[in-house]
Amino acid sequence: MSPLGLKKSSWIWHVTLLSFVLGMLLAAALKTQQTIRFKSGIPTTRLPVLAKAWADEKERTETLRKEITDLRAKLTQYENALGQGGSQSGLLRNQLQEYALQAGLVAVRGPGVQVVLQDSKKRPPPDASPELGDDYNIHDYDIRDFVSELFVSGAEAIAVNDQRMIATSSIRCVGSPIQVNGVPMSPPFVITAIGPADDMESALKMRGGVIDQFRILEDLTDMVKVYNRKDLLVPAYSGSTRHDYATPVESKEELKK
Amino acid sequence: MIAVLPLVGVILGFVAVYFLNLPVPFGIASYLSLAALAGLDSVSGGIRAGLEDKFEADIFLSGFMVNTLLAGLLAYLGDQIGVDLFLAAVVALGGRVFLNLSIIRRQWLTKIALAKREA
Repeated sequence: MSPLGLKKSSWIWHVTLLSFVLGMLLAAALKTQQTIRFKSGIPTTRLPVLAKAWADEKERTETLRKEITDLRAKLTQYENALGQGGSQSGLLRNQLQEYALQAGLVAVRGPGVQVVLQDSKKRPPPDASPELGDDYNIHDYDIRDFVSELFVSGAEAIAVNDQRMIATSSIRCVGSPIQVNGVPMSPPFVITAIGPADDMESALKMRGGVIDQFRILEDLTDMVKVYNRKDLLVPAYSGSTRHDYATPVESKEELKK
Repeated sequence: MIAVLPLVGVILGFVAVYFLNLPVPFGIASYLSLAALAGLDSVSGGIRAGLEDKFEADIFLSGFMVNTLLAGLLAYLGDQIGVDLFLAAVVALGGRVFLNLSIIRRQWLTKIALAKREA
């Protein structure tokens, strides 16, 4: 007779049944963890290792960003050297600079306005709904409203904190921080706009305009400050300018196809 | 020979899921691991109870279901309120798995010794 005893061994079948389920659970757990590791390229899902990997990536991004700035500076040097070559290449250089200005690839200075957006120092009333409480913080759509209003009133170059607005710029909310051009930032948000300073200021402040309509129900005017400045600096765009999909159309015939 | 059946069960279940191309639930990945640990605790507890002649099918079956779900739910609740209940569950369940395994080992050794004496 086996040491377990034949009569009492019916429990073994119960255990076996659930062992089967346990095996399934173990396999699912193992496969999930393996897939996570495989997809992320990180050998473990434990927090300290992840934190390290994140810090490394962040450092790499910083280095690459610096590299872009350096390369752009070198490019400007080459363009200047080209300008000394003759009248034709001088013309070419002027055109290049014009385009670089348009594309936001050079830092620019001039008169303009600065808008500072900040979370309100007031606290929402205790019985406030979550939607109302949200109004006490600056959101991505607030920044978009101001940027659009500034462009429409004549701004030639705009930066949100140190991020230059270009043709492919984005401003969006990712949980608590806001990403501008994919770079996370938190309040205060300083929107620097170079252009006709008085026009832009009055456009912002006109009746029914962005500031007039801003959080009109709660009287949260402490969140917005506008400064009219004589001399402002807007930095160059420092992100990638690759175009993998769009190619220029060479002739009008091509458009008709 | 009947004693290896639970092991066969684990292997069969493992193979069944591992080689199927199931979608991977990333959102509940950590809870899934915890549920597997709770399952390990229940199964080892069941074997222990069986060896101690205290096995009761309804307690065992309900314990498996409830503990597995509860471990995942508690960890989820902990995540929501910012307390790491996940660790508490791992410590409690892990400790019990060790305890169960050591008792199983002793029971087995005793029974084998008894069987030898009878023979």
